[in-house]
Amino acid sequence: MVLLVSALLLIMILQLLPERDFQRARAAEHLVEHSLRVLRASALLFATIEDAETAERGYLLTGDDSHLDQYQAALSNQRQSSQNLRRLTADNSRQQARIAKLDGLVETRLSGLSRLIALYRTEGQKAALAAIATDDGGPAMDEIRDLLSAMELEEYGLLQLGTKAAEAHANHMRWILSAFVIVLLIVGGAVSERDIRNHTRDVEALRTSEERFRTLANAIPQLCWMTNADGWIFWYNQRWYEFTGATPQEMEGSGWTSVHDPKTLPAVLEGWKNSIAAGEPFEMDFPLRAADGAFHPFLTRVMPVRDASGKAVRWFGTNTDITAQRMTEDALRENQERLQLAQQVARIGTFEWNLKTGMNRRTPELEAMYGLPSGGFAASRNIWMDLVCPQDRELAGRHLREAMETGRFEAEWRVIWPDSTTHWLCGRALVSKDDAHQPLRVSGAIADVTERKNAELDVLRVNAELEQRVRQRTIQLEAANRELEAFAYSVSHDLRAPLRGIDGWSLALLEDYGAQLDDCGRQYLNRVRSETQRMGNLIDDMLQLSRVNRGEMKAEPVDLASLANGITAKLRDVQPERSMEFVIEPHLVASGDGRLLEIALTNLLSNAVKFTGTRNKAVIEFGRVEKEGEMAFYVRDNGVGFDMAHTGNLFGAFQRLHKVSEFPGSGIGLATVQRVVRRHGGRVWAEACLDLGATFWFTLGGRS
Amino acid sequence: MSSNKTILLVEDNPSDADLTRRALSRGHISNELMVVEDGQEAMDYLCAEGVYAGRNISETPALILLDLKLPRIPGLEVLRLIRADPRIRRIPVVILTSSKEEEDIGAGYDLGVNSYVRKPVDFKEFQIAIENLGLYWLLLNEPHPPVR
Repeated sequence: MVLLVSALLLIMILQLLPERDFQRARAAEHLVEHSLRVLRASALLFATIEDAETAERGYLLTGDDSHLDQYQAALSNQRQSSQNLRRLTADNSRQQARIAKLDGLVETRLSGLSRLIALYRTEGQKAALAAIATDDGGPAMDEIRDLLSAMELEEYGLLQLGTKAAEAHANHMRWILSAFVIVLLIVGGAVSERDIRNHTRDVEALRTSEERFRTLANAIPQLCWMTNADGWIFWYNQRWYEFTGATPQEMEGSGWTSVHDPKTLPAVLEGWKNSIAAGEPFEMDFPLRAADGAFHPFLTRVMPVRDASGKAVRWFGTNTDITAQRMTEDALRENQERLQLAQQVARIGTFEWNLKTGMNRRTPELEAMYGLPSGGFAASRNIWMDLVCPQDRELAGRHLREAMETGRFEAEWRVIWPDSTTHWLCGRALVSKDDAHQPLRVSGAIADVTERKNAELDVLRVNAELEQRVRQRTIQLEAANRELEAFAYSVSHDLRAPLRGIDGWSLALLEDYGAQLDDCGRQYLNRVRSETQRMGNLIDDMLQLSRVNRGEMKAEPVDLASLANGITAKLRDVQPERSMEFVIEPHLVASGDGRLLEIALTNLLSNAVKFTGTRNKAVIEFGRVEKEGEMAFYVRDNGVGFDMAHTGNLFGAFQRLHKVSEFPGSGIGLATVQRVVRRHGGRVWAEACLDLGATFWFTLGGRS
Repeated sequence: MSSNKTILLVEDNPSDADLTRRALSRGHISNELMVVEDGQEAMDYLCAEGVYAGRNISETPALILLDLKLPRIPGLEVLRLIRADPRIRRIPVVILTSSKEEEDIGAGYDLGVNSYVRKPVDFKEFQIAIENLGLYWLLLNEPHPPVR
């Protein structure tokens, strides 16, 4: 049954065979058939002659007329055979010549036989037999036999040629058919006995299977083909023809070499030959030329199809276009080169440390940062920590342990190169974790920051030097300041003594010798005394100003309202004749230095009292408001005020906005207020209008 | 009444010394005024040493008016030495100075000063202060018993 199915397949596949193969095979068959006919015709001719002779001799010996009938039939056959032979060899002049000669000889021979029959009839058996004994028919028969032999020999030669050609084509076709059968069997699967029993379905299945293979073979992106055991390619898929643009005729035999690059072809041929010889699979990369003439890189694989004995009987080959793969590889390589270049330029090294396997992949740049050649880590058998400067090991180890928790590593450490030089490295890495949240891999980048670090250390050193210098300078300044303060203190004391003398002795003069002076003289002495006292007050104010800059600042809760109440009580005592209303907001607690705040408040309230001197009733307010998130205190009066245009240096020492004759004063009071406020971290400002009173604001730094 | 007793004025400024003398006289305080010009001299006088050797140490002044700014031994040191010497420690000491510094005032009290008076520039005020001092320390105040 399997044979029948194979035959059916063969019939089907025959239709796929190239027409030329058929023609050639048919021609070869004709040749063989023709030769066989010629041989058969010549043998028949010789037989008819022998038949005629046998019949004639039978008649001569028995006188039986039936032999004459046989004789006549033989003669008739002889003529037919002769004509047949002549026709068969019409295209062969040599054979035609032989046939012409043969006809003559046959004629001679047959006429001899007719003569003997006639002799038998006229002169009887004895005379006829005697004639046979002397008959020269023998040599004529030998000549016929020789001629026929020559003709046969010629036809045998032709037959041999024809047979060989036919065999070659038949072989070729047989291989093709066998290959198809094998492919069909591979693709379509083994044909089961049951399938075979169902003839129609079987044929249909095979057709489908074959169709499927063709579809498959033409659908795959690869080029594919099959060869016989010797590497003779007998089939290509459609893709091959599409890609190469070649025709089946061009691809016949070793036509495939024409789409190869001549540069790689020798190696391909060599490798392919070796694979065929060894019966081993063949695999190689080489370019193939596309229809447009451009070469594409291909990965070629050829697998042997083996028979039951393991012998390679066919080869099935595929060519896979790896242009895209090559481009990807090229792009990848390019990227890697670019990355490497970037790392080289940026002096960054990268690593990937697998915590499970302990494998640590480091770039050459990274190893260079440890003063090692490429692969130097593995060669030196050092672990990372061995190369870290001993002073930094504990820190680096701690950072690494923390990174296992946090997932991030960032640290700077020193390393000691094999040449004993120290270098600073800065590393950043990420720790990736597995599904169980266990650290799996640490990957990161390291940069050599020696230059930056040295610069930083330089900056630190310079800063330290600078700080030291600042400290020294501060100490010097503080000393100078103390000296100045001591000087101011000493001066103010020492200045007071002579003032006291001037005043005292002026008074002594008035008291003891006043009678001897006229009014004018006494007036002068009084002027001396009043100026002296003014200077005494000035010195006192200067002492106060210098005092607010000295001493420790305390920060304690101070009730400014109660301070103000105390101050205003004293002010009332000094000028009991004046009508003054003090409006003091109760409970104004702030953090500050009570002693200094009292000085400031005394100055502000004294000023308010002084500049309301011309009012029938002085109204002086002290309170607190929130201004822009800050608590601001104010002292407001209904006094003479001042022109805001002249307030530029209101808080500078010795600045005055009024004539001394109108409002006496040293011009130091507001400077003292400003110093007190500034020492508290606050600020002071004024709002006023000429003749409409003034408001002095101050804050004390802290948020309320 | 200690009118027969001496007032010791420790003052290096002759003008101030004379003004003090004038103020005392005008305030009718007739006690003898002994003026020494520096701290060392003050101690010598009080301890009957140096130029004052042979002076009867038990004749202590009724009152010491002490300036703070003094040559050789400063005023506060003189005060400390007085309070450290059992023979003279009970003598009332009034600091009479130009300084109104808290530090000085505090230090004076810490060292056991009996009174602290700032000398005003205005002589009239000065005179009132001196008169009050004399009135208080020489008349009202009960003197300390003599040191045995």
